[in-house]
Amino acid sequence: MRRSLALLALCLPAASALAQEEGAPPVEVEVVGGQNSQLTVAVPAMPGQALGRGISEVIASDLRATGAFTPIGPGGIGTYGQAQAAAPAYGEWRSAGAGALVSGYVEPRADGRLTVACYLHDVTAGRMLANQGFTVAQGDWRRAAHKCADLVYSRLTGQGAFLDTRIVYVAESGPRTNRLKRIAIMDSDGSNHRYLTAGRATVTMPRFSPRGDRLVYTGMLARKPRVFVLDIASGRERLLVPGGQITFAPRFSPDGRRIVFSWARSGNTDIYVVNAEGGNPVRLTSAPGVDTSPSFSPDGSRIVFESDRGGTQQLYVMNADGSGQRRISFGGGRYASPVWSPRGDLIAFTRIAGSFNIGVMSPSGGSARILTNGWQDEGPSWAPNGQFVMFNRIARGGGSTLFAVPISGGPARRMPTPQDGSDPSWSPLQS
Amino acid sequence: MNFDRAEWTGTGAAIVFHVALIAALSMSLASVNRAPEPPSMEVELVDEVGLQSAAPQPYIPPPPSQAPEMGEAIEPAPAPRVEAPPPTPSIKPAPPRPQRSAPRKPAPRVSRLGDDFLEGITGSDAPSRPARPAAATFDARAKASVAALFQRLVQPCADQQVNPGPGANRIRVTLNLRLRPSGTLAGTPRIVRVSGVDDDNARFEERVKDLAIAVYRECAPFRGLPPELYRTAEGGWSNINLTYKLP
Repeated sequence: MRRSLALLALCLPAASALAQEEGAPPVEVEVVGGQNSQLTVAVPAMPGQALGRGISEVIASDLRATGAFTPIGPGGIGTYGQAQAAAPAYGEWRSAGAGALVSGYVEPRADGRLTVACYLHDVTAGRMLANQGFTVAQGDWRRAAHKCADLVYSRLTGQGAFLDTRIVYVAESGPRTNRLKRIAIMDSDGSNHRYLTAGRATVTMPRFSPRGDRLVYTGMLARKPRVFVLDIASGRERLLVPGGQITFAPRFSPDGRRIVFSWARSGNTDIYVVNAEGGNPVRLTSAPGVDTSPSFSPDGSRIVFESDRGGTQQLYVMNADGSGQRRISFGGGRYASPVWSPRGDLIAFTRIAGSFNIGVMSPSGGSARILTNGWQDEGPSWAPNGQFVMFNRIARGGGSTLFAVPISGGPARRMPTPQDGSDPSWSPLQS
Repeated sequence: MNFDRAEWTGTGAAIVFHVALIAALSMSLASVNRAPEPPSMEVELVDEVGLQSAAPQPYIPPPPSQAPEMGEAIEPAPAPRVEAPPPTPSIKPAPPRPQRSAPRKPAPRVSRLGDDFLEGITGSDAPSRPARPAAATFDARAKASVAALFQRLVQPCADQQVNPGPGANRIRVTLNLRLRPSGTLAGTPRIVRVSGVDDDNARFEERVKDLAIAVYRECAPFRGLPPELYRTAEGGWSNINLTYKLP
């Protein structure tokens, strides 16, 4: 009791002072500061397995490819033990000049798979920003690295992930007079490259389904372009519209249940939509001229397409049932191959005005910007986060290569392909 | 809670003793000459600010440290010069009342607690209480000075942050920091408010919060803040709202 009273007596003055201070407003301080440089991200080799270093190399390469960071490592910088993955020595990494640190470790599981732990640290603040673990088959260790890089990219930029994705394109080889064109698929960094078609027929315009498990593409059959649907895992393919019809420029709807495409019949080319599993196509346009390159808005309510109904190739938007068709491109030159952004806020296109260039505009046609300055850049395809557009660039002397350009501005980055490539399509994010 | 007889007796005795002591002190205080009340204060608003307590000083203070100009590195204040006049206080003492002239010099700052403490205070002419250092006043001028100094302390760390993208500079993040007298953080800062977020830059909100946190964490502990302004009745640098934004 005596002790309680004494304690109370001691506490009263302190409580009184605190109450006084609590009632006073805080000192208001404003500080403005920062720089427009790239964040330096340290990616030291992960401990635990021989794969650790390889995973870190892929992460560093992915982060460099985003154009948003300056990664350092895994070579030339220190390493750490597994226990330090979650609690690194921030001071040491600060001294190394890093603003952020990607750490982790690789652990084998009893079922033969791997667990890859990924940690992102703010070295400046000395705190962990994010962490996640990925369990993958041994052969899929690169995917764990891509997912870790996606975690870093998303947390530091606020943008959606896009690195754990795949790319299909038309791989071209052989002489110009006898060009071999095959559909190839690869990871977004060019690894795991393989061919999906044998090259017996010329193929163009492969497009992923929203789940990334199927493709639609245009292949030549009996010297006529025809739309095919290809199951990637099994390799099975089928004609979208049976018979000898001339069909081309297909693309899936956002829910994957329909496919919109061009059909040339009776001297006119119009846009049709059909159930992805087959059925009777429904005609959406009927204007004289060529209506082609249809692309759904991400909510599936509208379709953008190109048409020469007005005399030159221009971009038009209509409702998904074909109603409300109106032109949206009014700049100089011609406009072609429109693709609606996954975010819904922009439409990418090819502008033909002397040279061919990739640009973006709002769905209403405003705020058009040209993103590239090549001689012949065409065939845009959006990254799933809507921040990059991939396209193929044809050089004056021949040869076609794939590039990706950020819509925020900046140089286009060449995508690694083992041979010439065209008509790229970026897959959705892999699950 | 059970008390035994001895505890009841002790508690009762303590209460009786305290009542007696308070009564004796009250009678003694009533019989001695009252210490003059502090003169009433006159408050004026000033535009210029200086890093110094504006409370009346019982002695001639050294000149205040001159704060460096904005953007300069923080340098040690020049050595005090005795001949330099003290800065004009923002709170000026009013003219003394005729019959209650304030002592020109306060009592020396020594403890008067002695062997005769329990005998009560005699009716001497000495002040009835031991002298205490004058309390610092956290007026507008002092507050602005502290804010300016703190801003200079964190500016180098703010300058190191990397802009995550276009539009992020419209976001303002305010953190409330509680500091210890040593300048270290007394607790986990909390986000007080975030403004300037719109559809175009919403994706950067979390990152700008990260950057605001990084600003104080990198620069802590905060050295050189005036200790007398750590905590006063009007506030102090123990409690700071730090607003950060990218340029």
